[in-house]
Amino acid sequence: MIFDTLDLSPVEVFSKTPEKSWGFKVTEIDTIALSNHATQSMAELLATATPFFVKNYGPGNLATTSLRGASASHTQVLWNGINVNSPMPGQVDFSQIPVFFTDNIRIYFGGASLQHNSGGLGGNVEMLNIADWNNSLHAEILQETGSFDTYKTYVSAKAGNLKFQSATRAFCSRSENDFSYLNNAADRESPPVEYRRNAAWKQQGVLQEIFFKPSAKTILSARIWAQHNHREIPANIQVMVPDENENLTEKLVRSQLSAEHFLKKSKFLIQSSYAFSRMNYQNIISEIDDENTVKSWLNALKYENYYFERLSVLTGINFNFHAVNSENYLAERTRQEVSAFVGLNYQLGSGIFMNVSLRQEVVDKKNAPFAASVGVKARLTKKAPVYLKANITRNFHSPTLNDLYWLPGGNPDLKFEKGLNSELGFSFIKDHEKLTLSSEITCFFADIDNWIMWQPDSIFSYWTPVNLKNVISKGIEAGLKIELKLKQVRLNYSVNYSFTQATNKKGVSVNDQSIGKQLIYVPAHAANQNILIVFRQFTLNYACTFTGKRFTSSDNLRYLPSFVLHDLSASKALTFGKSTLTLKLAVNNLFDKSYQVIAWQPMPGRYFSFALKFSYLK
Amino acid sequence: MFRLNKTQERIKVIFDRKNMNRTRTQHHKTNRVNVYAMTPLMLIFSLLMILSCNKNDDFGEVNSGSSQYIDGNGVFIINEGNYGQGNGSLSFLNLDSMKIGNDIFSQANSRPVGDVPFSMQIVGKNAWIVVNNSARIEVVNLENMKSVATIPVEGSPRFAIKVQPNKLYISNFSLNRIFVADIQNQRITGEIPLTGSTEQMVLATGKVFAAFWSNYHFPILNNNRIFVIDPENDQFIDSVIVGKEPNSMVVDKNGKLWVLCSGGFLNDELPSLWRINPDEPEVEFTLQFPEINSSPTSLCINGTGDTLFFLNQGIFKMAISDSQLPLFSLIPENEHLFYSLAVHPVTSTIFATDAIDYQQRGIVLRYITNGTFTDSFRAGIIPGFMMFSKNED
Repeated sequence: MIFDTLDLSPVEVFSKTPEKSWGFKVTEIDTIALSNHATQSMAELLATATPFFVKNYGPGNLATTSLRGASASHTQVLWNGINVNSPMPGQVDFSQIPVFFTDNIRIYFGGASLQHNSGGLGGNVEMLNIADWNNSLHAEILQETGSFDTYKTYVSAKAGNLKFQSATRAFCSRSENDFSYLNNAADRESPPVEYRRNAAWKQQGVLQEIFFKPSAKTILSARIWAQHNHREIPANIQVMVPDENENLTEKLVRSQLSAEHFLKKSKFLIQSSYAFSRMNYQNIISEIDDENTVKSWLNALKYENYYFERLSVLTGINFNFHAVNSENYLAERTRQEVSAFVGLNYQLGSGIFMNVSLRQEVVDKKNAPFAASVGVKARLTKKAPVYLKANITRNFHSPTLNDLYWLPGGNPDLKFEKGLNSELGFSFIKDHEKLTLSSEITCFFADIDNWIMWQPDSIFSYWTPVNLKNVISKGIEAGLKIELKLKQVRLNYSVNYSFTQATNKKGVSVNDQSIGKQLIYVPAHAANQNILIVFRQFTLNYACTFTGKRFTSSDNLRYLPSFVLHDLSASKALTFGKSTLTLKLAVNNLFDKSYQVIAWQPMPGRYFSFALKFSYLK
Repeated sequence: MFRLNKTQERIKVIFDRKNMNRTRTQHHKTNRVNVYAMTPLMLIFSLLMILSCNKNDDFGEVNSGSSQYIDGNGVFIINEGNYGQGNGSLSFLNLDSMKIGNDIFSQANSRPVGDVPFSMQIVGKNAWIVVNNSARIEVVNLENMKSVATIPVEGSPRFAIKVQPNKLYISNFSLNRIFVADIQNQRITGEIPLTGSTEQMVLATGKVFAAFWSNYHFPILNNNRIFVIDPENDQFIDSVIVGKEPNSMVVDKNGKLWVLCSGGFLNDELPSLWRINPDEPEVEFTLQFPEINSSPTSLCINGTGDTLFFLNQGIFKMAISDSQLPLFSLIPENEHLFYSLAVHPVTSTIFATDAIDYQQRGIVLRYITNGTFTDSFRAGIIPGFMMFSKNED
């Protein structure tokens, strides 16, 4: 796996953008992984490059992630500082986000998320776009063709000078997605081969960014991201439905304006974003043709002060407003979030660092629980860069608008979900001339109370959400990364393992056998490894992911077996002056493993893709 | 961590050619342990991952809670499972051995019964299982649960009822038609057009009464009626207006039809119980429930046809001669949330189900007629419809 631990060495701390994660676990997906997965969605990237379990209904279809046993809505997703979780279900569909549109992805585990926002009881996934002020012209065109009639085209052009930069990216991808699978719903013992139907998808999008430095102290930036997604939704294989029965179309625009101003020892940031999404879901058999419109206006004002040598202070206020028009709500429903934030980074002595975050939010004029976190990072020996990290966080998650207002069933009396997260870990990073080694081991504990679940109401009229569960999630994450640079050869090896025990403590009655059992669709064991070999202009990449057994019933009597997937890719770059042509061949699911991530939703066996990339760098 | 650090130092040394010899001589023993420890670990890990789970024989959902089917005198429990998740199943509680067989269709046929098995009708040596979201009927042999035929049904089939020696009606949630099936040839032979969807069906005085329970697919129609059909010529004869959402019906010892209406899922009106003279047909009287927020369901009758039972957040019992609804439950809900109810046609034993959290095996509870609890069994996910094996014809 390709997974970096941010090294927050003291030198970096008081630079222009101080890191604010002392004592917390923050990792970064490295650029090699990003470029290796450039033609894929975030769902595919997270599934192979991180130890997270991505709950995926099939290629191009709904994919959410569970971080450390928390629910999909407990993963908050940020795009350049703004939250892109839909206020309706409260989650993000990672299958609809192209990796190509990001320059950097960071994962904030558990309490680390509070530095940006509330609600990340599992954590945050942050996508960043970064301006390269030294760039004058960089153009790229990337064409990929793959199995199941899959065609993907990506184009990017970045141009500018030291004062002005423009970055344009566009893509179009589509797939018939009619892969073959073994139909175990027809016969478990000798499943017949069948072809997935009604699973085609198409995505198109454009991202335009403009960065401007009117003076050495000010950076202005503007971004607009527009995307159109259409996908057919295949039914589970036990259900016979006519072709084209179910589909989803989404149009979205996300725009952002921000200004950063640097003073001698402080920095201002003002940011305003507007996002619009219109989603149309059609189901012919169920006679559903719903349209949901979401408008979000998100604003942030931040002031960072690093006046003192050992102390930096970050203060901020946020004002967010969402308006949702849905045929599933009685009327237009809104959400208003106002929050105030204070963050302190303090260097206690040589090798001891502390981070404190305090956040108070008012959601729809209701005071949310006070959120706070404290993290400590300490260097254990003078000789070696071995760090101890420990932290504790109190956080909350607001009920989603669907939870509150869905008709019928929405429950306006829902309480906030409350989370207590803590971590204890060690990290080690050693840089040598030819060899870099880093490793990290983290134990985590999370207690999430008032966990919202939908249940039939007491008279079986309809399903309604209630603050039902109390989930205790604890586990261990371990990672090792080795990077070896020789004269002609470069070798990267990484391995990650995670153990998650997420159990429900509160039962609906004395007969509830889910008490003390693992939550459904949370694998206890997950691991991945990645080997990358670069020899001259030839690159070989091998990735392997292990996903443990997932229970599918809350009493843990039903489960889906574990599976291992292997992906192999080889690429060769040819350079002609300022131009580079790269050819890449990839084999996914090398051993043609039949597997299901979600019960009765088949996944593709072995499949191939071939890509050609032309890039010009002036 | 200190160990790792040392290892690192050594790795650096190893790759530093100048120091190679010195390293080999001075730190020979420790080097071997620390430096090369990583490589075999990597290899072992890689190999383990390559070798593990590469067989294709084990990739679908496994139910470790299945148990053996013992046919005979007993009750079938249709476990609906969650809509769209394909985790419905069939259970059979043998009332002689008092052993429950779970997941019995899947065991006999090496495949799941389908998405949302909903109801069952026993016809001769076979059982017709209506699988709602898979839109089909599975005909199985009662002796061994082996599938005899799979009959696709349009729309959203709900209940099946034998109306004539060789004729079966299938009600439908999404279509305004009842399908007619030929029992002998196990196929759909016709349909009866109606002005609404259909749910439960009963036979009374030679006529079929089908409840128009949900107007989800027919929003302009009022779902407060019972369609009357002549099974001789498959013709719609008449309809009887009752309360909103008629969800269950029984016929008493006097041949009267009783209909229980929930009043609508958004609590549009008071729930009600209706007695209908099926001959005319006409409503004889109505009893209204006092609480608009209640939703009574699962109307059942005992074997002698003189006592009614139903669910209303507790199990209620009333004689057919009673002129008012019972005020107190026979069996209070307590720690349970009753989902479905059935009464044994011979012993009048009460069977109730509790789906608990709707994501685990629910339970089937038994009570003797006076309401005393006897025993309980774990069935499948969301145990709903129950059918007694000796209830045939």
